[in-house]
Amino acid sequence: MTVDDSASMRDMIRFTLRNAGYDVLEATDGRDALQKLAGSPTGLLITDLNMPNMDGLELIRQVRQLPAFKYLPIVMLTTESQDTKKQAGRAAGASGWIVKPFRGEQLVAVAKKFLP
Amino acid sequence: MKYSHNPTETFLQEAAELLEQVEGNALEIMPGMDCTESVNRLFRAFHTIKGSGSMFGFGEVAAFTHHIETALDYVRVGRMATSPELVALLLAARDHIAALLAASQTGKPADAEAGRLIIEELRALLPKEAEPEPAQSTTPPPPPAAAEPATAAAQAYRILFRPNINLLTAGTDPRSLLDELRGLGECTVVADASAIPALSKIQPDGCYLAWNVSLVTDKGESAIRDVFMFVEDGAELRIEAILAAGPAASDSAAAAPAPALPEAAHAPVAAPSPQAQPARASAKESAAAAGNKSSSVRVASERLDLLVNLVGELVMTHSRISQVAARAGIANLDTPVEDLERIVASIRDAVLGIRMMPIATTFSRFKRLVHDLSAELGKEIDLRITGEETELDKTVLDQLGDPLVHLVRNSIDHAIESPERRERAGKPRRGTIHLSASHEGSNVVVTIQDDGRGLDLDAIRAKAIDRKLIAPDAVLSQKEIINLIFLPGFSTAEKVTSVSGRGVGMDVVRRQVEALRGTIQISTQPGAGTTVALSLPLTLAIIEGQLLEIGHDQFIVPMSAVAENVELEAVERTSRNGRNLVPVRGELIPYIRLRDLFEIRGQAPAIEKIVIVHHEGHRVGLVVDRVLGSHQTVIQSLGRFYRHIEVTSGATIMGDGRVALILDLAGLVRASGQSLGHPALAPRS
Amino acid sequence: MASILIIDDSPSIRLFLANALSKAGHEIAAAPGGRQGFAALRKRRFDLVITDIFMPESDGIETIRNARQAGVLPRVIAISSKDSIMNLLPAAKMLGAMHTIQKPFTAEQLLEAVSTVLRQPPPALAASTG
Repeated sequence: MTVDDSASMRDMIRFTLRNAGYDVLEATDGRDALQKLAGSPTGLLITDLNMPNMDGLELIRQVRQLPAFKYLPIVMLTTESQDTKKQAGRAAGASGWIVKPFRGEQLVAVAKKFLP
Repeated sequence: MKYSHNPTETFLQEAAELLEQVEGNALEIMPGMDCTESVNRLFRAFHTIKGSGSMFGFGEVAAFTHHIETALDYVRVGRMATSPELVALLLAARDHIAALLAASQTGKPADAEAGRLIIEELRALLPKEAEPEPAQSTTPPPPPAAAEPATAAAQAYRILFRPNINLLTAGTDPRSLLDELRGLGECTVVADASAIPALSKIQPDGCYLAWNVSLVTDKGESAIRDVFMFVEDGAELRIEAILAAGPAASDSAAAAPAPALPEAAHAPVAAPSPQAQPARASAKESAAAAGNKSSSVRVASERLDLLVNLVGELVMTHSRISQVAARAGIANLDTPVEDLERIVASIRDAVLGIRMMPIATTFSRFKRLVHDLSAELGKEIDLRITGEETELDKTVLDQLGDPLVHLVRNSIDHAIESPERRERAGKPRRGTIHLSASHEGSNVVVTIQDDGRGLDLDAIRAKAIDRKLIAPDAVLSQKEIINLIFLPGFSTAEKVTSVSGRGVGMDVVRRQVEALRGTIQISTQPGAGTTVALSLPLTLAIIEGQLLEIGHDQFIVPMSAVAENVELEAVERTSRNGRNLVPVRGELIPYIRLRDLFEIRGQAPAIEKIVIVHHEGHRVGLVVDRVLGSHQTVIQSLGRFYRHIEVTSGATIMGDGRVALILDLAGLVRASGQSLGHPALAPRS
Repeated sequence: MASILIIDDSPSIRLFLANALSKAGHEIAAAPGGRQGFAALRKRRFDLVITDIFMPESDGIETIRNARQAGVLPRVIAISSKDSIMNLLPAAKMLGAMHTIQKPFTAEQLLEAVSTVLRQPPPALAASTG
């Protein structure tokens, strides 16, 4: 599932991952993601950090509290300057990160790490 | 061509024009024609669409166009031929991009499947070795820009991975990590379950397993590291290349309990106090040392020295006033003189305090040293620091660094055993070095304590016999054996390591400490550890000394050097065997008659006193008329004209105005050795 | 507040840069290619030039080199596409680009780079033959 408030970002992620053979669900922010997670099985969560309503860190925290998603791989998207965010993300329970801007290959490589 | 003021709209127009151009150019690149120009234009067009597209949020366009750009680059450099299929694909790509761009306007998504097909078919056209697509293509003539050199030869590695206990709850499945490793080459995995605690203590979702992996791969160490890139922090990861095809790269990474990162500020026990500016010869900071949150002022060191000198004179002059006042018996003079004394004492303490700095800065550089050195030598060592707020005179601090470094290095190199040995001995795997500082009376005591193997007294003794420093049948107490290591040229290291090989023997350390008018003492417990204790004066500007008198002249000898005072009867004064020796509790000690050395006229008293001092491991007696007790005073330099005089290192003005010379023991020994021809006093080589 | 020259063959990029920079208070001039850019550098003094690297005819590298030889090289920020097949950014740096940015970048990233570079002194303006 990709969570991002930017439509073009979601588009890009969806396109790239589908090309690589994955099915991609989309959510526009943390709250939306939680709702959609409840309904469909997900193998990997990719989320941006800056989003309205509920941001990425909060989303990660809440997801981790749900028993069904305790071990769900979660990857966060950060910009290069947000190193402190990276630490915060890991503390909240993120499994990995990708630095924006990123190439399609990088995204696929990370996805393959968690969903081979 | 009208461009709007909105970059995105401008981009859409720009892209439209480029795509039109693409259509025209694509149709021109039929095989058999010279189409370099067209190919270049095509390449440029897609390159721009990709770049600008990525700028304005057209990620899907950028991602798709990237593949086209790559293919065209191959054509551009001649690695791929043009063909009707290529032309068709280029046209299809053009259409697809147009559709993607339109989709952003109309909201109707483009056919992603079509896009995928185009890319697939393009890939099929690429020259065989193009797969997988390199991130930065290595076109033959120009060198690859910033491409990682992949080690061509297969290399065997041993990998230890002990993940953080929270690996699983952070969403990582260790099996996929292992699978990634398997994807790099031939792989054997052995799980290590030794850390799994008892059922009652286990954290159900914790990861207690570790893995030892042997891997043969030609992808290089960074490829291996990449596998662990998200899980490296907080885990133990060691990658070691075996059967050196290159230098064996053994890394020691952060272990979960006690991170040992290079700039690790956390020595496990002591929290680092605010760091004062490191003491440097040129720039001096004034008293803000201890509470450095307050503002500070830069003071030129010359001014500081001047101030200290003036204060010294103030102290001495006051003491003279005080004596005169006492004798003069003038009414009402006592009280002001006493008040003055208190004020002068305060000024003295304050000014000398300006030069005092906490030892924290000196100690803190050891954190790095211990970490680097222990890593280099394959040992695991924790550094504990206490008392870092203890203050010392800046000059002492400056000169203390060197001997401390030697001592700590010795500890790491020789004293602390390798982790395996320690475990076999039942000790904790990680050794500890404890640096501490505290005030004791008017001294500062700095100790370096380790829990290593302790000094091997037998080995020391054997070495000393071997080096002919002691007789084979000499009977020595434990303390004396330990002190043998201070003799020059002595070293029990089995091999000379780069760390503490030549030149950093304990004799050098002791000399450095004694130059600071300090003392050094070692105590040890074989198997358990060693403690080195340095005792240093609080300041070099003031000397605590023993006041001696010969005739009417007074001299001062540093108290730290004095062992004891003994009487010398006239009878025993005569020399034995041409040397001046005196028996003291069974030991024969050479002595120097200062009256003779200084050619002081007059009669010596019937009973003279010998002040027995330590000097570089020897005990020497100084024969004087009287010993007048201890005396604390400010040192004055004698000035340029007297600098070459070896036997004295300064002077001080006594309360009655007389000058007392401060004796320099090294100079004394040399001077007397020469004039008396004493082999016992000649420096050992 | 600085005078900045933009050199890029893509009109949308030129527009984007001009918008972002003038909104931040800088004075902007733009050129669609290396040749025109170099001419502009010779005509008047700029505090900073932001140039794309990969352009037809006279590309960014050329421009930097020519400007340096003519002694008119101001501070330089070089732009290029991320993972461009032709990675000329190291070359740009060797020739004197003080900073490089890779597309795609945001206006904030651009402005941050600009203020960082503006804080540094301009390169020595002696004409060199290097």
